Amino acid sequence: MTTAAAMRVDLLIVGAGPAGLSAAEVALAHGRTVALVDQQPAAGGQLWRQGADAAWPTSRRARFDPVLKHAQLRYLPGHRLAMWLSPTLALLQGAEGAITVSADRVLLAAGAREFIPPFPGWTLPGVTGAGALQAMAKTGVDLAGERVSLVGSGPLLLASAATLNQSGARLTGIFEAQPRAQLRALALSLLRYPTRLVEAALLRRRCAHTRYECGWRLLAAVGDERVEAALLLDPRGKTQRVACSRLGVSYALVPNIECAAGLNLSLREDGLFACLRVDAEQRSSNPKIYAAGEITGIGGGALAELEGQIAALSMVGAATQLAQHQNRHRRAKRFADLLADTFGIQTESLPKPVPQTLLCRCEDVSWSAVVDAESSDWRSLKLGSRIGMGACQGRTCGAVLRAYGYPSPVNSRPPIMPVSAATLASLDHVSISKPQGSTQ
Amino acid sequence: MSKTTVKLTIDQQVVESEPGVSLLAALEKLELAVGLSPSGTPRGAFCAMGTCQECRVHVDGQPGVLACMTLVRDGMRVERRR
Repeated sequence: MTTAAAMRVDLLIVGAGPAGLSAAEVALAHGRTVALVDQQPAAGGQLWRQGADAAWPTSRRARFDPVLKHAQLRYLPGHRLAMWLSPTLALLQGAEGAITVSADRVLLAAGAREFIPPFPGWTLPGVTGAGALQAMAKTGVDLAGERVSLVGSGPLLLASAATLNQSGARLTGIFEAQPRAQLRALALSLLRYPTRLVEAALLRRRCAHTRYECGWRLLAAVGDERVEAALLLDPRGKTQRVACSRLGVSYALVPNIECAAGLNLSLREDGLFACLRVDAEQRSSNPKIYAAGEITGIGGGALAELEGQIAALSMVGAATQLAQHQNRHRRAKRFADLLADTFGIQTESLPKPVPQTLLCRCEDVSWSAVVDAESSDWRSLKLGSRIGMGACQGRTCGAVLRAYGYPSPVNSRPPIMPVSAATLASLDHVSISKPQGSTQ
Repeated sequence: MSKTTVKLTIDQQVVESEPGVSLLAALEKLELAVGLSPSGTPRGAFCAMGTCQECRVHVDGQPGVLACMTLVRDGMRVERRR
């Protein structure tokens, strides 16, 4: 029987995206020891993704390469968070086996995932998230010459289109669900945020030749072995068939609160979904656990970065800098709220599954099995339909059920990610009260 | 660059891949579905961000490895869900 290796640090950060990296930078600069755990093989999260076809810009490398190589940092890429053995003791699984990390403080910065609601044909190969296509392009999937349609809502569709244009894909169009008037109002409001206006203009320029439509609804994906076309309802109520070899769908972002399973932290509503509740210093309802970035409410990269810094500044007690960052945060938050108002999706604008549409992609449970169960709570729905019992542990279907007004998982349970029996067995040999080892 | 390709085995088939790309990229290059659903229909990658578990494969005998989160490695043995 193997024993989990043990590590002890001042701060454990879950997630190496903008929030986690920025927090690590501040904590290290103030002499703290930090463990930074992330599931991906490279740092950056979703927004600052690095991959075979995506190198960091020089400025970001200059800023974060020294952080990742810092002597006081234990960077753990390719590691899954298995469970919390106590609020400040985590069990992780990496390629080399199980590790426990004990810390004085924890920062949860696990980001968000795309909300991809079910519709007829959504299990066909070639149907993915819109951001998923961007991630694929950046990590070496060859999308040159592919005919791509992007459907859903939000600025992510444009960002994804910009990357796909660059990778040689041929975009058939971006089909935004929100009505045109709403986006026009956003364009006017952008005048109050010059930096963001420039960003938006640059992004739009990278998609200058891409068709951009508003007020469209996704009906279905059709195809035999793979997706061959998207069926869409145009604003005049006419069904349009758009041929494509890839269909990228994204209607919203879902905060990855599952990483807090077992911690009993307070939640709040964020659009259709739930996020972690934090105070003005990014502290959760447990004073030893902080949270930053999308997991505390969808706000984008600039806000995530500030929140990571605020959390770390609060932990190290740097009051002056903390106040300065909080001021910048207030302004960034106003812009995030503006985006949320513009693109916040209503259930009525989402695609409609039919009874045969699979809701649980892991176990092939149909929409009708859920509707017919007529359950008023998650537990009986789960037992009655086997929904949420598959490999994704309800991450995909749980968000769908919540958005469509059905019972959904409230507090997810450990293990947080699927882990091996060996990882769990290693616990027999872990001394929870006295973690051994050191970062030095 | 000293080495231009890596060789891996996907369901007994030896394939060459550029180094540094994701295992998902290697599967996509062969136009392979990432696996079959419980009722036997082919599935492709879905979230590509480590959430949906759709692209889980066996790597060197270890189950539940996500192709989207894993870089190709020389000599890697990959088995898809059947």
